[in-house]
Amino acid sequence: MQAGVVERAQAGDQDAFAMLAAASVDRCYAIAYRILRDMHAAQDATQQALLSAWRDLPTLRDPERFEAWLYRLVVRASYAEAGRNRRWGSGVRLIPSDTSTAPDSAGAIADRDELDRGFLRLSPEQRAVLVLHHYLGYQLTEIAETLGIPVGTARSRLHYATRELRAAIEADARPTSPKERTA
Amino acid sequence: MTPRPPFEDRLDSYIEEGPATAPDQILDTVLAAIPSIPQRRAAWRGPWRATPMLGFARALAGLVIVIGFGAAALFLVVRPNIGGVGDQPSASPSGPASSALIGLATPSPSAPSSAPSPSAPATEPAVAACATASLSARITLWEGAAGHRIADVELKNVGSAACTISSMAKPQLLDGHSTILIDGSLAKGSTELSLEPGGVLKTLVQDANYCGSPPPAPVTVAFVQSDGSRIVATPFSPTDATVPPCNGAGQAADIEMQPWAP
Repeated sequence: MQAGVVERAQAGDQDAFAMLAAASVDRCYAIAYRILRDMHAAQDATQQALLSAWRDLPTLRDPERFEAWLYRLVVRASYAEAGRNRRWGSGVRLIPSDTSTAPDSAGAIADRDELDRGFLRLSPEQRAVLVLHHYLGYQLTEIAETLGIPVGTARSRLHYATRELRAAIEADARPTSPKERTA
Repeated sequence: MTPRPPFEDRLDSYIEEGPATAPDQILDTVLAAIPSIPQRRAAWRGPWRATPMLGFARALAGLVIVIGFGAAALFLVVRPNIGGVGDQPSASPSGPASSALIGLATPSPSAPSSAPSPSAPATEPAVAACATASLSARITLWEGAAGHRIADVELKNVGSAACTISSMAKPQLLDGHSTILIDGSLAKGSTELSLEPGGVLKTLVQDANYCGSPPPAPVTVAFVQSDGSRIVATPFSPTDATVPPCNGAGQAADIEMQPWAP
């Protein structure tokens, strides 16, 4: 059914595009937020991706692949937003998670903070791979297809992103002695 | 003390948390904007920040296009000389024969018939860089996105000869007194594009974070070429004063362009 709606939107049917956008906006925003960890930037990226989707929809050859194509636009828009924030030096605003109201142990909060700091040290490209893999549950071939990169590149990005995140967390957790050296 | 869960599980939980629904404002803004945004029909033009080609492949494709145009232009310049006609094929009295060779170039109606010498050297420069006077740019549309404004700009070769132009320039946002409101920078990775007489190139210029006072109309965009010359686009309307919203006075304003493309 969706392919038919995509084809109508490709032909310029704004109502059809409204249906597609309404069905996709939550997921697009969720992806952008998880890459950017910033609600305002995620909002901008989602909006930009949907506007690009409308403008460029006629260039989509296979309507069945609309979803993957749209996610690619979201990821690209997120890269642009991340670059803009970095260039302007505005930093990334940390938004309390939805779980902040629930009683949580100090250990769990510390865990989350460690992950937050480590995640924000990764490049947007590495964050995108992690989000597609851990949030959408995509396998390497799907990640590669969505991002328009070779499978090998997707594999190495996922590997290095995971490794760097783990290393960042371990470095964070290490006692802060200036003289400390690890072998 | 409870043991920590495995790293992968912690990462799953961390990435899972966060909003699952988008603010209504996003969809409202998008749906309000699309009636004024034309859809692209040129199948080969890549979408804004979402081209499926890799950077290397894109650069290679650009190079192939430039070489193709260059070779075609060289062929057009050299080929008439072989017949001893001169370097202005469109001005030749043997019109049908030479114009059949042209393919890419539009005949130049104003070319003087006496200009070329039969003994002109065969190694003429292929296509000259576009003079600012032979180019006409105009803003065809302003689009809005949260925190940004995007100008759709068309550039037309209004001269009588094909010429080349860099795909990237330094974009600027100007007010009605030609004062620079936002100054961009020259992006790297520019390629040379050939533009036939009457040919049109398009680009998108995105700006953000203008925190100054309301500018005098009309606001427009300009493109500073690598040689310092500037192409100023005709504003969208004489009363247009579109500037991007202020996202924070402490942040720098920003303006950037996509490469010119057919």
